[in-house]
Amino acid sequence: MNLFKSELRKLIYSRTTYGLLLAAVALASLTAGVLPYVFSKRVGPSGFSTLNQQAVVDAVYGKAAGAYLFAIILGVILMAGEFRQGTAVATFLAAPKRSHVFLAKVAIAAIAGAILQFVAAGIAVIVAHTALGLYPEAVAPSDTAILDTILAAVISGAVLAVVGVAVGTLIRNQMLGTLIAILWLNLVEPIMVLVFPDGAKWWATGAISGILNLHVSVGRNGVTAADYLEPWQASLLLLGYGAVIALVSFATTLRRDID
Amino acid sequence: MSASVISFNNLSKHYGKQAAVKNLNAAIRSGAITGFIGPNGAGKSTALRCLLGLATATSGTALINGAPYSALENPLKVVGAVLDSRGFHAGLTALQNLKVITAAADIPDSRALEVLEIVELSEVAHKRTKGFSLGMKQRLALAAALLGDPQILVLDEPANGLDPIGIAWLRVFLRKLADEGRTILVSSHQLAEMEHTVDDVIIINHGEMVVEGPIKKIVGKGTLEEAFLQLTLKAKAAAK
Repeated sequence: MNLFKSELRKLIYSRTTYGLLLAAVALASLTAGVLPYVFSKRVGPSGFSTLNQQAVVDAVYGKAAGAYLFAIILGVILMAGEFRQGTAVATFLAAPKRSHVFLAKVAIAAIAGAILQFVAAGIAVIVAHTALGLYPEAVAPSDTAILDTILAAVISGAVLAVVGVAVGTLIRNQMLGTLIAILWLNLVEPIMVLVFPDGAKWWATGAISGILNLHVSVGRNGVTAADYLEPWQASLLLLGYGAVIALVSFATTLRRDID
Repeated sequence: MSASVISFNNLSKHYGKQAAVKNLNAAIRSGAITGFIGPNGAGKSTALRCLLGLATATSGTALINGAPYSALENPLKVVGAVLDSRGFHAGLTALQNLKVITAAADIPDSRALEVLEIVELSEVAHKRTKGFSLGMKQRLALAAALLGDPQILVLDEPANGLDPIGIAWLRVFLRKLADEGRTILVSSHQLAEMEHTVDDVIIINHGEMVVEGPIKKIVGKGTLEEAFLQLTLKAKAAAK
């Protein structure tokens, strides 16, 4: 409990936390706010704007949960930031059992990641609702669309922040760890999905899409929501990846000398 | 002779083929200031990091009260350490940095203000450490070491970056702590300064212990610098 409190203080005291929250709110709100305009310019088979399709409106709300990248960055910073700031020595002097520190960070990351995504998605849902209100042709979302979005945001935030801690433990360089997470999610995996669309659901981004599963009929690159894992399966898969990365870091970097 | 509270027992630490510490055997007497002396790269910091569980010894042990650091119950209440002045989050205030540690070690937050008062940093308690001078960071590091009111202090080059006034302050400060009955192990390569501060010395060179004992006995009628040069040259000749 002491370590948990200490980790919580690190998050609360640091400006970076609030910067990440603001960035997540901005990204989710911008995406959810602009998408209605984009869809309003597309004409569906019926000859009307695609905003008259419930699945499309649901997709607009779904984008409110899209700032998960900041949750993974938060996780990376929680661990790798100790080495960047030089506070790792103080942390491990206070708690020499490194696995305890890791577990405290995992717990606080899960909570912080969930809160970050909850706030970002909550505000973005309001933005999406306001933006959709500007288009008379926009239909109402499905009954569970908003709840699904918030749930997906909270789950993805918690799970990805935990994965971030594991990545930050393996790669002690904060900039490198963050860069790798961003490039992996935004460049490497999309390319792999293009090359091997059948395996999409097994990649991290595929699992994230699974968590965000909103039954949108048309996905990217020919991959539809139906091809992804169920949210609970996708969450377990991502946690599994996090566990593997954590195990590797336990066996390697976590045992390394602290400089 | 007081009992030893810190002991190095055949401690060796290798980085690849490079031996940073070789079979170090030493015991630190309770209630005294012991200088851990040697040139840069002698292995002082490595030995201290092994003692504090931050580096894993290749062989041998480094013990505090007969146990490895990692086995100590709430270690900050037993040992306070200053390893470098870089160990604070630049974006946090002095007080916030200390409160992160008090939380981890189950120490009352009020103690953070007390130790800032002890090291004369109360006025900057709410200032971010980003703008701190090296001397202020060293004092803050000392404050952090004192949080748990430990009986043992391990200080690695605490005078680094301090101006003459800061060094004089440190000397008085360490003596005051020792007079309270604390055991202090302080490493340095500043021999002249250490001569005025410590009770005992351990001289280490190229990872190996050259000599240990009361400073008066080792220095004799000369200076610590003279004794150091004489002993290290003698050890070098014997090795050949």
